[in-house]
Amino acid sequence: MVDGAALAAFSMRFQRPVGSVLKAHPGVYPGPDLPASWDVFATSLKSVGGVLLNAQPSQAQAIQAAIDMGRAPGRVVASAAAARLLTGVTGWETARVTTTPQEWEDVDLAIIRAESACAENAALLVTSSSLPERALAFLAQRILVLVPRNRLIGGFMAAQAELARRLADGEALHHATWMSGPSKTADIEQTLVIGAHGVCALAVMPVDA
Amino acid sequence: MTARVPQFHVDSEKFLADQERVGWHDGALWHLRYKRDLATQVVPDWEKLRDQAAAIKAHVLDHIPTLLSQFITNAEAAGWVVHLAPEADDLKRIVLDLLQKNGVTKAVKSKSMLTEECGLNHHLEANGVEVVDTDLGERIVQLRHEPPSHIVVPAIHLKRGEIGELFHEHLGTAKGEDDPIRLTRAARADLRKRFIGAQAGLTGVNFAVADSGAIVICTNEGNADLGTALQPLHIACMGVEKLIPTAADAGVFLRLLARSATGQPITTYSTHIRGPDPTRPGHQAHLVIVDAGRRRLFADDEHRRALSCIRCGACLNTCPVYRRASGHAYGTTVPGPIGAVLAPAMIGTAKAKELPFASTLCGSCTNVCPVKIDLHDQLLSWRRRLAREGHVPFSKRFAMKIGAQALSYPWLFSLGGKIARTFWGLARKGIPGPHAGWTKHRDLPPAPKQSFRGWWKSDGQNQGNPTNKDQDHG
Ligand code: SF4
Repeated sequence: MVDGAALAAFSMRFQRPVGSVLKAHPGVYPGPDLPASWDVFATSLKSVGGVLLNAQPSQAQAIQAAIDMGRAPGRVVASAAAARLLTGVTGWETARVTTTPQEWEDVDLAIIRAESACAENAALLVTSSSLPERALAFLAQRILVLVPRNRLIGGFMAAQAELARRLADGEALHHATWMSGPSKTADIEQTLVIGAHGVCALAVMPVDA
Repeated sequence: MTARVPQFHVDSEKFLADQERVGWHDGALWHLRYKRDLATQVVPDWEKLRDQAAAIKAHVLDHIPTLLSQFITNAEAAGWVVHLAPEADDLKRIVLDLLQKNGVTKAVKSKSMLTEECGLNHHLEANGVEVVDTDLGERIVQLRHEPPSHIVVPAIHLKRGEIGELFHEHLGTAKGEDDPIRLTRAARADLRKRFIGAQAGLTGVNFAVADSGAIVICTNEGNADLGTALQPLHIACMGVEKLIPTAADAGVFLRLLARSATGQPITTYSTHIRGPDPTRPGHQAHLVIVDAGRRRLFADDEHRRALSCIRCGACLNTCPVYRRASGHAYGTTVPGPIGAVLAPAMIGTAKAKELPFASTLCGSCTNVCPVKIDLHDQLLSWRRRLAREGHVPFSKRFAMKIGAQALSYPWLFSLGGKIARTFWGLARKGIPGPHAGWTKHRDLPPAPKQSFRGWWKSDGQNQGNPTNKDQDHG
């Protein structure tokens, strides 16, 4: 615990003088009402370097095709939450509970399940509840994100408000990440390079929950 | 900030000596500005969003003690070990202590302007801890032993060939290789090994959420996530001004930050973290909250608002002086308009006296700032204070006095105008004497043959434009 006296001394330096008129919080900002449309999501996702896949002709077949994707895949690992959605799909293993996440270093394709998606910015929410295997999503070379079709939110204000409510309600989340497309950098001469340190490719598939 | 005294007029010369590079640098940053414009135009509520962000930040600056204690209570409940660092030296001591206690010899670090400003890397290296910067741009400047020149794209002053040379030497890429994709892949391979081998991850903080004890870290590369999800020890360092009241408020800033910085709708990874990871027994999470001179800015009524900065870099990208002089000319960790506003408070007016003059006061910075800091007004108010304190060199003081007099005596203004129009024409090939710096690297537009007043009196009231055939600057 931080020492009370030390905190008081530290805080004092940032105390407005007695009698100052202090500005109130402006209140919750709802943001514009943006459509929860998968078409809008697809456009946003394309702009951040991701690909949208359809669960056609069947969900299992589409996922199988995504795994194979024109080449023999290396190691394919699914998070526990995603594994439940993979009946009928072959050629993958479930991420085992581990205290040494380094062992996912050689994963070619990770399959994870996002809790929601946002059309405004193609962000996908994963948290310690859906993805306790956090490092998997960053160490894999490619990632397939399955997201329940009915969990698309239009605007990001509403999407973040939902996460904020969960935190305020005391859900013991350790981490929560909005992921928008594959990792990228433009640090060399402003040239956009997809695949910085995290995943080099990201595909999203809306699925039946 | 670094102890070094900024010498803008000397250091900008070095960069300006290579005009081809200046033009390219200017263009690269303008491209970022352009992408920012496109991204903001499609957001229906952009101006409302800026207003909201500015109002939240104003509220925060009036309530730091309350928010800080709320944040610490919630952070400790989530398992963070919280440390307070009144000075830069405290930050260095606390971090080194933690690393040594845990036997850490290799650490990875994601981008943090605060630790850059406090000289943390140097202190850790001097005490036997290897620290690897993992943001690609920061890694590049670290290998070159130089500071970042930009807060978002730290290696923007370098060309691909120079980075190719550097990687050939340090990462074993082929001689002459300068393809950005292959260079990025080489850095990726090297850094991934380091993420896995490190015993500790150091990170900055973009937002510290008071109502939930979470910190939010934003990256495009995924380096902050790889630099916290694998190592047994996480140390996050934040300036006290990073506090925001609620997790819902974070949505406002996440919608503004990346659009302002690079034109993306949101950073690729926007991660909230609360304390240690329960799936990894023994995992530790420490949070160091730093003052290091922020109190001086806080106590300054005219410039306190600058503490609202979310370090998006938009004011750098749009600044005609920054784009041509480059970041190293400022001699401070944070360059550009915001750097020139922060520096006089952080390192003192005597040391930073040149920086508020490194601006044309065109106001573009104020227009793009997502949290509506009145940057150009702040620069002007620093100039006034510097003048009052006697820090303005004679030539500038002289010019300002003449300006002030001219504006208060209309007859002097019209007389001065006549002289100036003649002088302007002569000066196109370079102003001699103490003002030479103004024309060394730019040509003045041709002078109008008639003054605005003269034109208005003669035929301007009936026609469209001042009579001047060979001039294109109105
Ligand atoms: S001052 Fe404003 S525009 Fe400049 S970096 Fe800070 S937030 Fe961005």
